[in-house]
Amino acid sequence: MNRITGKQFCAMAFIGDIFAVLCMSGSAGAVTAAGFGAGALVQLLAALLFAEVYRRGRKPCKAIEAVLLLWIIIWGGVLFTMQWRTSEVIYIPFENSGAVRGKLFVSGLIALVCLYIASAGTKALGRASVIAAAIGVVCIAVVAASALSAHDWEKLNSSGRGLSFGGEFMRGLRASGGIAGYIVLLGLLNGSYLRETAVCFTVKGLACAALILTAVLVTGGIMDIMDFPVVRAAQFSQPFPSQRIDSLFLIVFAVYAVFSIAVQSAAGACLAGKLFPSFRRFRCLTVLALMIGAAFLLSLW
Amino acid sequence: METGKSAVMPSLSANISRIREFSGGSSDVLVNEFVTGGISCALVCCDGMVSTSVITELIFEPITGIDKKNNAQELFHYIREELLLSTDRPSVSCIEDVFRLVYSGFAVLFAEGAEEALGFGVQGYSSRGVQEPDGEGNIMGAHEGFTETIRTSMSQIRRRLKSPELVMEMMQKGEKSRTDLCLCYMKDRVPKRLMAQIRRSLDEIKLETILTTGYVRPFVESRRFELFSSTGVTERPDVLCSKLIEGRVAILVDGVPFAIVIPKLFCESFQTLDDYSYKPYYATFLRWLKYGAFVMAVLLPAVYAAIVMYHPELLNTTLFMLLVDAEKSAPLSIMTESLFVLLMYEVIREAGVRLPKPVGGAVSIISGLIIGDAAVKSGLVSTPLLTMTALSVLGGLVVPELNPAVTVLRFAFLLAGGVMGLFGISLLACAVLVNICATEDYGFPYTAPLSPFRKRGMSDTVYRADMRKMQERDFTVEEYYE
Repeated sequence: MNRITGKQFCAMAFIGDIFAVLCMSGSAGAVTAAGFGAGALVQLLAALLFAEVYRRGRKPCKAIEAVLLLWIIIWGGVLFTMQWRTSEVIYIPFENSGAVRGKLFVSGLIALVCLYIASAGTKALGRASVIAAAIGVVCIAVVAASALSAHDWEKLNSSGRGLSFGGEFMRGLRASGGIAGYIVLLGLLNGSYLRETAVCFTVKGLACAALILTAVLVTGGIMDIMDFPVVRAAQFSQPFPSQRIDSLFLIVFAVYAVFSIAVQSAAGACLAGKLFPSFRRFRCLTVLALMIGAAFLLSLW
Repeated sequence: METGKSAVMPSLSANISRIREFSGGSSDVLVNEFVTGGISCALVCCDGMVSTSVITELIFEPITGIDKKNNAQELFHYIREELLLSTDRPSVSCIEDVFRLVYSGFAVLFAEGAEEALGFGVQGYSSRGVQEPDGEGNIMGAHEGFTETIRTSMSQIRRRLKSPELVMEMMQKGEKSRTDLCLCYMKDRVPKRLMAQIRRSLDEIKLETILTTGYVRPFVESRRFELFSSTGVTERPDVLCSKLIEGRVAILVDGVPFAIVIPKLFCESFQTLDDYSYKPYYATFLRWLKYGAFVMAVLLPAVYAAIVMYHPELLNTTLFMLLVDAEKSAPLSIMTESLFVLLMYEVIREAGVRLPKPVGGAVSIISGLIIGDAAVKSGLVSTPLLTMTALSVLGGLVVPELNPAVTVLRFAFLLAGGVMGLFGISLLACAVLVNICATEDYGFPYTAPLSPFRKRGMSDTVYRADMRKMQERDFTVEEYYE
């Protein structure tokens, strides 16, 4: 049985939501961090509801499972779109060569690795997520530590003018689309559903808020004229006078992009297996293909 | 007696003719006919598998002096119960079993009128003596390794574990080779379900011959593609004993001086027996040195190529200028250069391994020095790149057990880094990470205790705890079962 531990579940959810924050576009301020924190709280409530269902030994009805699957596919598409858009501001070799071809190549490679990872099973994915999350945390910590040298508390006031808590709360909710996948994975949890869910979503919410706050402290008012606050914060904060550490962010971006999409694919494949028991082979491939299709539709929209 | 087997007949001449027929007149099957106790007998043995002096002194001399007996049964009873010619005296009632014994170094006695034959363990084949293992060097521990003779290897284990809990189960596998395998485990430590699963896996072996551990390992490993092997091998009895104490299972194969250890963990590749001889702080230092060497072995050429080709901003100005200066005269791209140097190294290494030892060593040194020096002087290869490659190769040799996988991964990462920079390396690293995390044998994850995380396991992974603390821990591998 592909059971996962609380730590593995937490790592999978952490990666997914941090990736959404990394790819966050538009202006950001202290209120954004609060909005994302509140968004995570709503996520927590939804997850607790399902955790209680699982705790009682029940499972969601078919209709809810179908909705969750649809949600996962759409969110997978959103993740692909985020990756596509964010890769424009991160230097990836060949990404800008041949116009769209380079970007397609990069996205194709990510999809291919996602397919392999998702096909390995949730158990392997869970184990790897813990290590990937730890590597990412180390890289983010280095970037954040270097950001501290460029931080300015005054920027908290100067940034995010015109942003309302309500608007940022909705933005936080929009960035929490991974919840459907996490609900599915919650069913595979080995341990106390309620406690693990509470710990996981609290840690995740705090981490997202801290990351946004760090980005705001570095970028400040400049965000009014530039996009992608977290990416920019990483680019602006350099610890050494003659060296740049942007590439460290590239590693976090690549690893988290792959794992966040793979987690959703694995959850989708798991759900597809429940909804259509006779559908045994190529489930991950089908879910990923549908996600790419959704990404295409979203980009048109 | 099993159906389909040929029974030993009361007629001695019939038995002898069937033995000759079965062996196809093979010249190494010797049949010595004689009369003792008034009964016609024949002693069958295999030339080269038995000790001639033992047969002469301990079998022929006492047997030929037996007083007259009424029948073969009385004769066998006297030999078995009173004469005690050897410690191992199995009775066999079918010709197939006779051959199994004969080809294992037994002498088998037939007598006129007996419907069974009597075997005597008088093995005396020539074999290599106990020597220091080549592949698992050790400074502070014992300097002896397994030998090709399974019985010697078993005795080496028994000498170190005198506990009645240590069980050694012999079995034969290989339709033609009839190779002896020995399943070793501590019956109080080994997980019962692990034993049952391994037995089931071994039952699947339908090979004709078993010549190395590589014939058996695929049967006790997962079927899925795994970069790293989920079973380990060791040629050191002391290392094997430490694994058995932890509740693992070992398989010895006759004719091979290596034992298979099941299950194997990734972190174990970085542990040596010497770690437990040194002070914990030094052992911890050595362990981290090995972790670093492993990462360096896999990633250094790839990261070098990626940074110099795509991410030079990571370098400081001095280092950057130094590399630019070195690389500007090189005619090939950095990736091609790296591939060339790595391939050259692999060719030289392979030549060194396959050639006779005195020549092989010389070839390795001379080709390494001459080719390396010539390549740098001619400007074909830059000095920094050669340094990086040499460091990477050296790093791989620090953890020899992982070297095959490291070699292939080094090339794969170099290609990924050379084509897509750190982005390519990151993507490939994700795939490799998942492959390692998916590696699992009989429910024991290869990446334990790191992921799934087991805090207790950190005392011999992240650092090497004091022996007193390790004693309190009383670890068995079952802790990692998932």
